[in-house]
Amino acid sequence: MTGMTMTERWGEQQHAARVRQSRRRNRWLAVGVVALLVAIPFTIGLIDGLSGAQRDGVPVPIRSGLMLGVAALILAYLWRSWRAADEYHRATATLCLAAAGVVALVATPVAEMIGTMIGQPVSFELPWALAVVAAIGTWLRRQRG
Amino acid sequence: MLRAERDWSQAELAGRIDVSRQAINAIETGKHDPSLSLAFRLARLFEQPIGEIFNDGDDDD
Repeated sequence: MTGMTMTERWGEQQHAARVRQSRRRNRWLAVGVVALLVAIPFTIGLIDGLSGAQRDGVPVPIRSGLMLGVAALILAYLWRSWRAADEYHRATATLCLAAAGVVALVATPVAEMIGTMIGQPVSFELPWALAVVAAIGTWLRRQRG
Repeated sequence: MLRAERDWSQAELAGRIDVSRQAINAIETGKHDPSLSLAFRLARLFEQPIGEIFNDGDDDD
């Protein structure tokens, strides 16, 4: 005996803690993105408005910094989520990324070929959008089984 | 089903072997084949050999 007591439903408590941790992560991401994309530009605008400074939107260096901040936040979120995920969720993520990668790999030259044939350049956003659709489709298919 | 015999919910079993409830659901519905390490964890928890818990549907031999 280790002296440690376990309740009958300790597994559910463990699971609830896992869910709470995931929700906390999601909340921090939402708060971070809102702070970087809304609160900081809003504060700059407010200060400019109060001081009467004439500026056309948020200055470029600050805008770039905010975008880098959002990217860093999302990367950190993805890293933490990957570390916390179990093998099922990691397999799902891997399948979705693989589907997006294969579609992007094939769709880009095909779109270029079609563009040449019809004499009109195809926007690079098309393969990108198809890759996103493939990833979402794979995720939905896995959820439904 | 071993989980039902113990009157455990999917969340209870998930918490005991440190995976998500979705993973348990996917294994039970045959949507996900667990890794060897997870299969061993389940076997230890249920105190049964892996072969007793998982069946590949080819038990003729």
